Amino acid sequence: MKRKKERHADMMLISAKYLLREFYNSYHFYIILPFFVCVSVAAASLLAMVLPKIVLDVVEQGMTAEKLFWSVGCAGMLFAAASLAVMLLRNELELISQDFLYTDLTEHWERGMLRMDYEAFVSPRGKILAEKARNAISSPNWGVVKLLPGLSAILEAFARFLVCLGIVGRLHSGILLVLLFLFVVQLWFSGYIQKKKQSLKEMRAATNRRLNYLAWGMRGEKEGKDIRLYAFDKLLHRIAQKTIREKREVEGKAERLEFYNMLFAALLLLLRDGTAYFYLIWRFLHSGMTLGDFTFYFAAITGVGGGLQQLARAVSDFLETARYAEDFFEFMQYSMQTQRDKTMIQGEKYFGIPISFVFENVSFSYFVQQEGKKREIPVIKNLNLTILPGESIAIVGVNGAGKSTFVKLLCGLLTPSEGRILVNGVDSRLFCREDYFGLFSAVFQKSGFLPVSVAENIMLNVKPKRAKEQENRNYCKEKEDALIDNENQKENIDTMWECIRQAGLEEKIKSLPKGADTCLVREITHEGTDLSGGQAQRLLLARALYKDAPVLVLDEPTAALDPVAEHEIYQEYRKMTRGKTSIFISHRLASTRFCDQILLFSDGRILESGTHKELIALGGQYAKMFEVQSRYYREEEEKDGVGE
Amino acid sequence: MRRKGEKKNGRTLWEDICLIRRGIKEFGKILPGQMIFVLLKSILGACIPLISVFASAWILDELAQERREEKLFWVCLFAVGGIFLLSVLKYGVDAKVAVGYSCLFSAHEIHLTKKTHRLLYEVLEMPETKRLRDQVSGSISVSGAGMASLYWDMEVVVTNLCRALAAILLGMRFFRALFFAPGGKGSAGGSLFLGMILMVGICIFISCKMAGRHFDVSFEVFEKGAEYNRYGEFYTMNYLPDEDSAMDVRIFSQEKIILRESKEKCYQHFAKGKRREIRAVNRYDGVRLFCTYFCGVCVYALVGWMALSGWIGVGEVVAAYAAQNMLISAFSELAQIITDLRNNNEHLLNFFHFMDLPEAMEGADLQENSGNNCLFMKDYDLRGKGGDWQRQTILVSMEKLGSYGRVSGVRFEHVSFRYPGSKEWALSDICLEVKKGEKLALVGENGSGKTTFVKLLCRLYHPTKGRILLDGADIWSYPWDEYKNRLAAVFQDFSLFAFSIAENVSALEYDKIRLEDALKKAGLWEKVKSLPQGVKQSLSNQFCEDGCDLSGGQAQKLAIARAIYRDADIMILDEPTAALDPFAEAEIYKNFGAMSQGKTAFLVSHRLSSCKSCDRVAVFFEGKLVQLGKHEELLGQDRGEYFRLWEAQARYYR
Repeated sequence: MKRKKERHADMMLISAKYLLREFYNSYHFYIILPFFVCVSVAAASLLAMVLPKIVLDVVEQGMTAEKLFWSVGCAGMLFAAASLAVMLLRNELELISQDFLYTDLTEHWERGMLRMDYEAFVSPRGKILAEKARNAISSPNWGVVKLLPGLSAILEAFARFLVCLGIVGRLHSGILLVLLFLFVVQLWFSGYIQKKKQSLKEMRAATNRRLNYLAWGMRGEKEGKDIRLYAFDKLLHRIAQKTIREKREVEGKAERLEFYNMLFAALLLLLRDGTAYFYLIWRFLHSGMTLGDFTFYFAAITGVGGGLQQLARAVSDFLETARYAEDFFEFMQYSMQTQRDKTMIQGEKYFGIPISFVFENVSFSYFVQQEGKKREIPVIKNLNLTILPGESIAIVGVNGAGKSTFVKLLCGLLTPSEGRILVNGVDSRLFCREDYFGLFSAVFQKSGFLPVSVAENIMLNVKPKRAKEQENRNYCKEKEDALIDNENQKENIDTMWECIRQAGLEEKIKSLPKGADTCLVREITHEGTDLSGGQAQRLLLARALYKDAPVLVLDEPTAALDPVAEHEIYQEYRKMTRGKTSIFISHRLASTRFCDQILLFSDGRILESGTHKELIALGGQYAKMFEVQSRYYREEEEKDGVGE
Repeated sequence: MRRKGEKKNGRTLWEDICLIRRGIKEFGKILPGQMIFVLLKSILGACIPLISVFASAWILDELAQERREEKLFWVCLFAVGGIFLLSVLKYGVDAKVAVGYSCLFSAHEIHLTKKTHRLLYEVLEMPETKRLRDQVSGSISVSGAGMASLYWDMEVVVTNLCRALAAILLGMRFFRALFFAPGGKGSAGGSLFLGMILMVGICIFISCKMAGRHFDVSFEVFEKGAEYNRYGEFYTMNYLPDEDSAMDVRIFSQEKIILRESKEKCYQHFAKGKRREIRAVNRYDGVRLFCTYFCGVCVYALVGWMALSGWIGVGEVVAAYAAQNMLISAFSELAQIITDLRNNNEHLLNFFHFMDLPEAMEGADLQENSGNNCLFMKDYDLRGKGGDWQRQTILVSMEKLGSYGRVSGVRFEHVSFRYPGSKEWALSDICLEVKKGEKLALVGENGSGKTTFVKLLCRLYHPTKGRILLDGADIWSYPWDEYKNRLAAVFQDFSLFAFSIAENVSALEYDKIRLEDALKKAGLWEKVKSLPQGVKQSLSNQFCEDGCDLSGGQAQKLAIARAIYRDADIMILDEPTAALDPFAEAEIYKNFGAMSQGKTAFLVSHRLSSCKSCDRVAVFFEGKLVQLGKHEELLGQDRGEYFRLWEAQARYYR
């Protein structure tokens, strides 16, 4: 238990260090800003106590007005200067921390998300870490961004505490001991309360989960039709009421504990202030203290207590921030560790030539945590398969037969748990990831678009001119680059239009207000257009064609299309796959006819393989499936006498 | 910088106050009774420091003059005890406030969702509505503006009003000591006192001005930030964590473009905005603080001088300084908060706007709702014209309905529909009669109007022209509760909730026998029986920890079970099998006949093979009904749209 705690503390320290180093790399000596803040806070708090003392002393001793004005003026100006410095320095610190957040931290996270291994990305642990890290940098008001300000707050509180301590120490050291004692008692009690609060944690998490689902899990938009027609609103309302009541109860319990904590603190405050008043009055009456000293010391005594409390709060805030820092660091570490591009083989030499694949005893399993045990769910079982260069393969099978997993294995998004995949005779694991991905063009089932123009969505590399200017400082070089770029760009744009045409989307794109420069994802870009399901699938196809990689993977490219559109795509299919190895997944068996080889997946295995005719002749599951789907069409033909 | 005149954001102060008043009223609907605690908390919070100021002034006076130990004892006890008692009270209220606060964000969201449930469906589907909802949700969740701001700001307002009052009280004490105390030098101190008041007044004026500007800049930067935020949010919340996008990211190496886009469209602006804000804040707060300190020092020197001259006591020195300090900070905070509240009204307006969107399904309710009671019509109307929503529909009484009873079935009479804001007709001039018990298949290309047809029939949209009759009466004349009970629809994008299976099927209390029957007919009973908690098992683990996940086919069957459970005379299936494999698809079509036994049924499908199980087929093309008849008949028409569709699909199965 203790060791665990220690390790935890270590981890926190390492992550805080990591982030501070990152900060130092970007902002260098801004890192000592907290010290300046701390010094000016110390000065300001000292002067705030000295100022009334000066006035009262002058009045009590009956000095001249001139002396009064001078001393008050000087002390006042110093106080104002220190306070202004505190404000300016704190603002600077805030600014620089947020700058760090927006320029460095977000980019680190995004890069981590973009680069981490896909398998790690989809694993439950990867998802949790990513979400925690995102949360840690999601706000400019809390989270990792508060690392430096938090550090500064601790120093400030400590400085204030030290100043007051010095003053009180001059008065009586016994008072100091009393103050410290009271503080320790309070810490102990609030620790006790915190521990009690911990026992509510699970209950709170459960109600929070429920409440979150009701509040953010659904918004009544997608569900609108069902809610209206089936009157789900009553049910939802009832459940929401109940859940909010539960939440109030749980939070009420937690807050009651907090109330006891505060009550105790108030009691201690009563003791502290009471002691301070009585002691100081006693001193004043019996051992000749000035009025100025009276207020001065009183302020110092409350200052010690206040400083300690501030310190405690600053430390606990910082610990909270450090936890966020840890979340962030853990994710970054995880993402780095799972990146697999340290291998040697470059894939470039394979670009432009047909690719063959050999699957040797490939198995793949997901691991799920169930009842505390790791359970293995095999998805692909001992798969052996050869795909010849330039061959076109169709994959069919019922839902959950492992088709999508197969495609992910092929594309290198997942790695086999057992066995290996050879690409033109080379083990796929030896490739540099980026190059390996470069071998594939793909249309996946549920792809979305980026909120950029149509052209950028297809080409993915268009740089607006302005960004370019910023990047290249050297003017001449820029000009040259621009020339070459312009030419390339023109060529690229021609290719893009060719792809759009092939995907059957030319008319639609040309009819858009800004043609290919029209933005997609209207929800985000607020201008431009949204494509319908069918058009979107065509655009995805165009994107895949534009990439022009040696392997083309199509995962149900026609699911959202109507029969006529589907037919058009099939017509183009031959042309699209010319000279390429292609993999085609479909529920509609009609489409499989174009392919050289059909693989029927069932329960993670290849059950049948061959051409359409062979499989029909075989009379196995494929034939059955085809029969189910074509029954209606066929009957018709028999009746009409149009048959084959 | 916006010129600060009488109006701010186009509103006068009074209008702003009205809006805030309404905001507080609406807040009461989200968290009933919570505002009272906030007010109580702030009053208590303002009183506590006041006690210590008064007490220390008394103590100092006593120490400087008479030094009565007994009085000192009582004053100390009063100070310490008073603070203790008030603190305890305040902590009690604090706990209540904290509980409310912990519920605020989700309660706010649930409140909005509840409104969404009541919205007129046409309005719900408009992109403007979605954007408005996003804005309202965003303003509270991203920056704690809107209702949350109101919550916090009210506390600050009351606190500072109390503080200002207390400061004036303290000032009175000083005033009394100066002029009315025995030996007070009224005449000599008068001009000095006036000068002091003047100085404090000027300082308050400058502070308020500066504080207001500070908040204006912050607001401006924030508003701009919200504009960029949607890009950041899109990447961090939607695109990057999504499993499907992650594949695209890797295969198409989108790293560079995403990093560039998120930086250029969002984070760069955030950083710039923050820089701008801090620069402005430095300037305004610098001036404000300097003024405050300058004034404070002057007051100190002056009252010190007065005390030196013997006009006032020592206690008054402390009290006067505290009073002016309190007064200036109270006023400048008030100025800040009023600026903030007035700016926040922009968010509140969005909230009210959303709350005032037309709702209800009934004619009677529609009329009630027609006059919206907001102050401003500025961008308030989504369609431009105000009266568009007011549909005069007459409620048909039940007796009257009886006389229509003879003509049973559904009848479309020259129905046309145009989406709000669109110029093109989504459906035009549809005439169609479907007899009771008939099964009609609806086919056509994407976007040909099938789904619109279904939505019109479900009374989710109101026909722009023409009318739809059910058993001889306009469907809009039925009370909604009655009408919806005659329909059972399974939509393409049906939704299941993370509650129990029984609740998903029955939507409230369930009848055990009917539930079992519905699940059996939908072919899901075996699966449900195998679950540990049977029909009480929750779906997914979003709401209950031990929920189960259903496959696509099972989910589809559950949605169908819901329709069967309703046992209505009209059944609508909108592409129920798009995501299913051939076997699951075949199973559902096999069950279709049994499910719709004796009922009027509408079936939308891309798979033309399913049309054969229907009595008639309606073919849509570009919003028009182009063909209607039996499958065989339509197939016979060589040039027809149906033939074209059929051929496109059937050729692959030969």
